[in-house]
Amino acid sequence: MQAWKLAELSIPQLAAQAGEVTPESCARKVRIAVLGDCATQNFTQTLASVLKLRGCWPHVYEAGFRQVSQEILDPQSGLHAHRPSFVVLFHAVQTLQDRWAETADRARFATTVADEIVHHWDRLLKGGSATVVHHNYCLPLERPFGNYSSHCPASFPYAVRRINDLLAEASASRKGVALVDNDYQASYHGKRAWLSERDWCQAKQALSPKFLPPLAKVVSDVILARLGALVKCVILDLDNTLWSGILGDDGVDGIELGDAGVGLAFQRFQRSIAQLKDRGILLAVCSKNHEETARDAFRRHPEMVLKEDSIVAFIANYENKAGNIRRIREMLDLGLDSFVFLDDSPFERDLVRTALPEVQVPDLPEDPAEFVSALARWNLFETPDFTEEDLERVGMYKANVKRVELRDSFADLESYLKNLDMVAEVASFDGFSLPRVAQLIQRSNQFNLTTYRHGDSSLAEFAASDRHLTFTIRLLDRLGDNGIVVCVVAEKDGADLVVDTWVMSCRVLGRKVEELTITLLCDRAREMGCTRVIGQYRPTPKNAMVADLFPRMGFSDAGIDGEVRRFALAVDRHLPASLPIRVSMKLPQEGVR
Amino acid sequence: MKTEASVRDRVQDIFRSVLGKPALVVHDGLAAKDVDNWDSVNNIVIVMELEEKLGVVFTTAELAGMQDVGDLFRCLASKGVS
Repeated sequence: MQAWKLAELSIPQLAAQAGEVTPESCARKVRIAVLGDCATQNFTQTLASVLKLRGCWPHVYEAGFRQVSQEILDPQSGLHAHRPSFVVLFHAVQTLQDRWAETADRARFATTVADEIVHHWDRLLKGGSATVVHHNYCLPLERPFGNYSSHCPASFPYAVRRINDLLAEASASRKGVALVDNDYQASYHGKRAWLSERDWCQAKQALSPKFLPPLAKVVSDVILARLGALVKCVILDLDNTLWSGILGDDGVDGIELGDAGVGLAFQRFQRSIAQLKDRGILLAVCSKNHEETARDAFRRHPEMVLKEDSIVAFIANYENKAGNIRRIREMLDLGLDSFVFLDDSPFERDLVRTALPEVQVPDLPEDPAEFVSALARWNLFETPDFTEEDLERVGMYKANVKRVELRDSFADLESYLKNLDMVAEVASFDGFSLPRVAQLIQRSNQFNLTTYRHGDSSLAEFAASDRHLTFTIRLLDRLGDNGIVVCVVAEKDGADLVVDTWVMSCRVLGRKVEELTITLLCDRAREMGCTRVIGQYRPTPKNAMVADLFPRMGFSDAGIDGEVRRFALAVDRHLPASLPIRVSMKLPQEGVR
Repeated sequence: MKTEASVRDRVQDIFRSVLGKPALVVHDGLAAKDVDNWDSVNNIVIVMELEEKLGVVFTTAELAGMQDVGDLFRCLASKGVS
């Protein structure tokens, strides 16, 4: 089921469709707990349905009504016994209002409430394995002071907004906390209908159940983003998607864009897309046009917001769009589920959905003036964080497209790789690389040998530990900086150096970085006084591509330990091949890190 | 025009789909205690579906006052849905 569509279904429709999903058909499994100070059963059931329909099978623990503090603070509680990887907290503004009514010290109300919640977060984060998914408060409808309420510290609405701000600040320094902007959802759908007094009075529903499907959908977005399911590229049609009119018929001067009316609607849509580009979402074009004519519109039309150099892959021809999207995917080296395709034509949408069901293809509204709000409703571009690397991504992928073209121009791979002038900068984990390391370890699914999702604190411990070897590889070449593409954590165990974690960005596959990593491991193992490197492979539904990596690198089978397959290589048996990569070491000269 | 039979059928369809019981037959005496999963959780979904599919809005007092399906039909009739 396409995720954007889930928000449009009713609760019974979701339940009926989710009833058909089996655990075996789900690529992911996830342990979830839901705690709230309102009736949460409908919310929990809807969230479970949505997750199932997105291929993520939930094992759910639902705490009793208003058991939030008890469950969190009691180490013997059902919550802790469930060992959830996600704890979903839902606090109702209606319950908060009851408390406000009974509070004498209103000046400290906001900080007291926020402190309590943050204390709960920290207790939940202590184990290191759970992510807290916290709904902020929906700002209430009542305004006892009229418009003055919004800046009157003695008013309840002011206190609620303050709590939301304090929580947002506190979450910034806690990677394990993900906020759901519940107040935004309420505003989007209409707070008057969202905060149904009747449904609260009748059944302690914090929001009208009508809005549970869209809310559960965005909660699932947050959870799946944390699990690494992220959209990275939006593929755009041109005619009647980015401007009004048919370029081939109307000419560059004939298409409508900018000014007012329909032209302005398209221009504002382009601005929305440009904001995505600015935060690191890749843009590609897939259009039925002559390439030169299409490029000409980007170059010559004065009202174009999107520029030709913002597009990392530009395909304009009269071939099948599904085939063209496959080509874009090859050029960028991303999974199909990393793509969104936007096209005004129902025919093209249906064709792409049928041929490539992993690609999200939402139904653009008939009226282009509704594109912007539809994009907001679909929430296709969820992200758990925003790093420097995200900003550099556009340049990196553009260089990657050039590399693909370059590779095709060489007769063989060897001479292409030699021609790239690759340099690998090798460094142990440090303050600068840790955010990227954490991101790679959270997000990499395919080239990930063990898929141990170490959190920030564990990674910092490895970096500081004498028993552990950590390193990153940043790969540069004559077409640009690929960024940090490899993270390795290994642990010394007697005469063995055991590779705990090895992740690599798939965009550098086939560039001999794997071989380089093995050489580095052997060199460091020798320096640490080890005679063997032990490779580990823990299979997951997504990492089959590295199942035989260690044997391919000359390791021999060393048996199975639980779900982990082990491989061994004697370091003095390793003969480093000559690699087309120059190494620049930033490792400490001595010691064991 | 909606006839009594068609409203009855539509209400029955809603009960069947929310409660996941395709053979459920609604009659005036039917109440929550007679159906194992007609709990407060499903009740709120039934109300929501009735409002949406029949184009009506129930007040808090009306919801609190309904004891069985017969009450529901009388309430719908008072809103011109019969």
